[in-house]
Amino acid sequence: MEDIVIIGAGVTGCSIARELSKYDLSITVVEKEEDVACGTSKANSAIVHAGFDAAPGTWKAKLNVIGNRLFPALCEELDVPFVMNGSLVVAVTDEEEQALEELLERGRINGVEKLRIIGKDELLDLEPNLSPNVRGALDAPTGGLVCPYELVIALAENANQNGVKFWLNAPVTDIEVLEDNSFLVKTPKGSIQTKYVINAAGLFADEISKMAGAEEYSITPRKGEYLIFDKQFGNLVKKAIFPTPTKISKGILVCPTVDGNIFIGPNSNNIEDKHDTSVNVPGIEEIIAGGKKLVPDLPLKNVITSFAGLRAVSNTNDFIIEASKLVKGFINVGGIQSPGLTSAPAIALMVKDILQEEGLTLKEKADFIPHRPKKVRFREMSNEERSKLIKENPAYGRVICRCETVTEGEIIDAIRRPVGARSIDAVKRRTRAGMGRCQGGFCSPRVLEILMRELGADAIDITKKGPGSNILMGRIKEFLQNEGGDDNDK
Amino acid sequence: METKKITCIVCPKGCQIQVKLNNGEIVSIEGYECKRGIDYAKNEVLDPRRTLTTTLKLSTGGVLPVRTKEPIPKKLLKKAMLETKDIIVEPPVKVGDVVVENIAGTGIDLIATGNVE
Amino acid sequence: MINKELVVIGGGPAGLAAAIEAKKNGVEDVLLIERDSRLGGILPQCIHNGFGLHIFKEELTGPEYAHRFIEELEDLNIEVLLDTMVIDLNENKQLTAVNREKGLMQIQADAIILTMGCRERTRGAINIPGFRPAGIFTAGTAQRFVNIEGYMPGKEIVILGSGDIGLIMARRFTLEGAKVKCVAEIMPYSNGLTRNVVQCLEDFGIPLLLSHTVVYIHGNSRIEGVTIAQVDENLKPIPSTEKYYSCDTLLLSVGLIPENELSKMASIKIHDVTGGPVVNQRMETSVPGIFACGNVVHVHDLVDFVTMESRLAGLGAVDYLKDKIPSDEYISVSAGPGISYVVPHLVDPEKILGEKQNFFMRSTKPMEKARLFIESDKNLIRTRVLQHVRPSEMISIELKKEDLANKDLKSLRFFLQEEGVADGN
Repeated sequence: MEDIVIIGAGVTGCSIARELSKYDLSITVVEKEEDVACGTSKANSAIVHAGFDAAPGTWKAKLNVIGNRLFPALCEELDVPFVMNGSLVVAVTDEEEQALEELLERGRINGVEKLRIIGKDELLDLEPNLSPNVRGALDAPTGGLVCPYELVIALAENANQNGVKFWLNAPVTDIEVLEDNSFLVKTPKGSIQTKYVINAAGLFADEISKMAGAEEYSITPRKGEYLIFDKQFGNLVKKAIFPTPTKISKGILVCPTVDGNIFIGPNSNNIEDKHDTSVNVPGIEEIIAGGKKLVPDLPLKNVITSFAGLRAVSNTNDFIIEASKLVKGFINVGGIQSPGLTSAPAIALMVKDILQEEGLTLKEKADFIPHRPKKVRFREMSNEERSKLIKENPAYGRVICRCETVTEGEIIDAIRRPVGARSIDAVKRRTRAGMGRCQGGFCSPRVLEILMRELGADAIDITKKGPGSNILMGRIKEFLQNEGGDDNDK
Repeated sequence: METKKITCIVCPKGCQIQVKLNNGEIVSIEGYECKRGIDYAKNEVLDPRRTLTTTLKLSTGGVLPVRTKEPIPKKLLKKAMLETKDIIVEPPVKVGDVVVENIAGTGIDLIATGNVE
Repeated sequence: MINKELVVIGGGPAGLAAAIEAKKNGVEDVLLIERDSRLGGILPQCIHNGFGLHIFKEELTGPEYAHRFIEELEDLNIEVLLDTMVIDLNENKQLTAVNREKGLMQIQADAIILTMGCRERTRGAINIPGFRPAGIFTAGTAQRFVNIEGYMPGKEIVILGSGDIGLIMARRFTLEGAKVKCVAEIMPYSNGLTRNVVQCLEDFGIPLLLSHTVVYIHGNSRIEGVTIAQVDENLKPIPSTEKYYSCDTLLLSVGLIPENELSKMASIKIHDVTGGPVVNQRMETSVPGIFACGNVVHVHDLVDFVTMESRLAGLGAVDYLKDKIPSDEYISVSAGPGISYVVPHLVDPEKILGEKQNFFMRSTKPMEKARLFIESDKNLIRTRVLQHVRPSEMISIELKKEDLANKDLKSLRFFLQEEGVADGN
């Protein structure tokens, strides 16, 4: 019997898992995808929000501000790239300039520090590539950037080191409440009996809640599309540049990533299909138009990729974080849309408190390991460090991804680490191999070969992103068959 | 009467040549702009040939690139490919080595185009 | 720091020819660095024939063409580092390379020849909407999987772009028993050689859809199909023409880009149109002593031309190492109407190598018949009638030494005029 099963291995589920791994508990995370961070957590704006945006009094507002303060130490502890580069909310009309004042006031009520409004000259001094139409901006120095999937991976790795088990490729098919008030969580991989269930299933949290007979609510997928530019334009803007927000969304940004690219996006459209992560022409046009309002000269010829993410928007329009009143021991953590990434560390603490209120006894582990295994980032090392590293392990002397300078050693490590990579995309998220300008054209055959060797698998079985996404379909000659006749064009 | 349309590849110009045939005999050739086009069209109609390039499996894993030593009849390309299906080559092999004799009964050999030790 | 007289970065056809030429002409200490585990660059995976007609006067396959140079390189005892990646280069001709055995190497070269080749444009570069499933390959990556690794990426294939690698792969897949449904090309003309259209598509009844492009990618895990639409004269898809093609694989053959990360690190001047270094008549870049040749300078249509250009670069490096040629007095070579670029971009008319100077260029659009004009600031040097000009096929023109030398020329300009077509077209 487990103490806790967490459903969903996104930033919410993994933050909770890692927080709870500090205590003497038996915990399993079940995830329907082949890796952690495969839903909303891998496709979002990657911003650690300052916290001026959400309406005062909401969970979003409270947890954002607390989460923001927890981020630097958390990322330091888990060796996750994080920069507090600041955010700017830019106004281009009189109305928007007024709206900045309201935003400033809202931020103060929410408890955001160091907010101030700056004029056009100072703004253009800071960000010379902005449109000449700008009037001024709200400057939020506590806004930051993180690599969201790397954060989730780090949380999962560290939780795993501290005893949390991960069941991947394990979609929950049913949740049965047993007579002793424990649960049986069923997946195609088997069932797990547990005292508590934490529902952190993102877009599917409504379905999981219903499955357990807990409170009914609805989650609507709200799509956001993005374009990413080549690193050579990484200096286009230094801070996250927001337009003045509307009621529905924070708007289309022009923003750096922690890895040195620039992206534009997201737009914000409610859709029906929770699996629809397609990018569409109207969406691309919308984000280009939006981005151009802020930065007129976008390097549109140097787009390296596009993607779409789905935000999990609840019908309450706020986070739903509470113990079920209908099913004892079932805790909903749903509707975690923006600023969910920023709030995740605070959400984890809140869930811990809820569990205690629900009667769970927490006993701190004496042997908790706070840091995940050391991670090599060859591209960031000095030549002296590189030289030493290759002498210790020659696999670091073979560069596999030329665009991002990722070595074989790093890829092997990504596979062997706790909750290790099992697919090309999982390697990509852990090492950046394939994320550069050639998008895996050069390195994907080589990464595939290393995965084969490390996993003892056949080439045909290696996937891009889990079951059904195999890269190759057969050996040569396999498809040859005698069709009769000898014309070639039959 | 049958008309075959041929795109000439002798030069980059790509003349569209029409060849009229009666019972397999060439009756007329039209649309060419040079003498080489006539010869090309004749061959394409009467005995079109192609060099087949492919790979064979190696006993050590991996593949060996090969080609027919001379062009073979176009209509036998697929037959020749089928014949390569179960062939496994034992290294070492050197460029130019004959790896399959008389492919698809053409009298033409398949030769290695790469070295394997 | 290791000292080397000449370092060649890249062991493809350009690097091989340049290293051989330099060694044959007296440079003793040549080091060739290759990132792959074998020499030849892209040639070992180009198992089809059609290489070498200009250089060897016979038709060879890619591996055979590479083999001839690799043998010569070995005979000349040129030092080679395989599986070695150059990760840094600066304008002082210092480079950093890594491999498993030797670890991190810092090398000071007297001269460098850049021959890193090019890479393929990707889906992101052309921004195709839809999902991001497995089964989307650039044609060259698919070619590597089939011809080097021995695996089939798919069984039902749609190809976007009619570049030569895409056409060659259409035939290769078909002969291997896969079904190639069509090749869609956004331009109203093919981007590949006529020979390849005939022998790779027409031979097998594969439709070439001109003025068509992929407008949507379907399938979440593995690609399930694509929507293809016709495009108008502005290359915009026409909605009423959309048609669904089921497939398990999409190959992209939508262009090549010179790979100049290292050139940029060394602050070498890059040409806007070619995407490669600006070079002079000896294939020397804006940094004296650093040369570049082959697809890293501009994308070639035939490997034979790469070899010719690279021999020139090899000789250029020889001259530089002999007497560190003082700064030349360059005149600019520019592309006028009808021409997208001319290489070399600069020449010193008094110091061309040998008796002739070769110029490579590409037209901006297909022309059935055109007249090429070569003019200087002083006079019209020459005109030449060209038949069947295509942007996909390089134009190669030689000028004699006496056309250029002792004339006090200040500039050269090449332009094309279509013949038999009214002006203003």
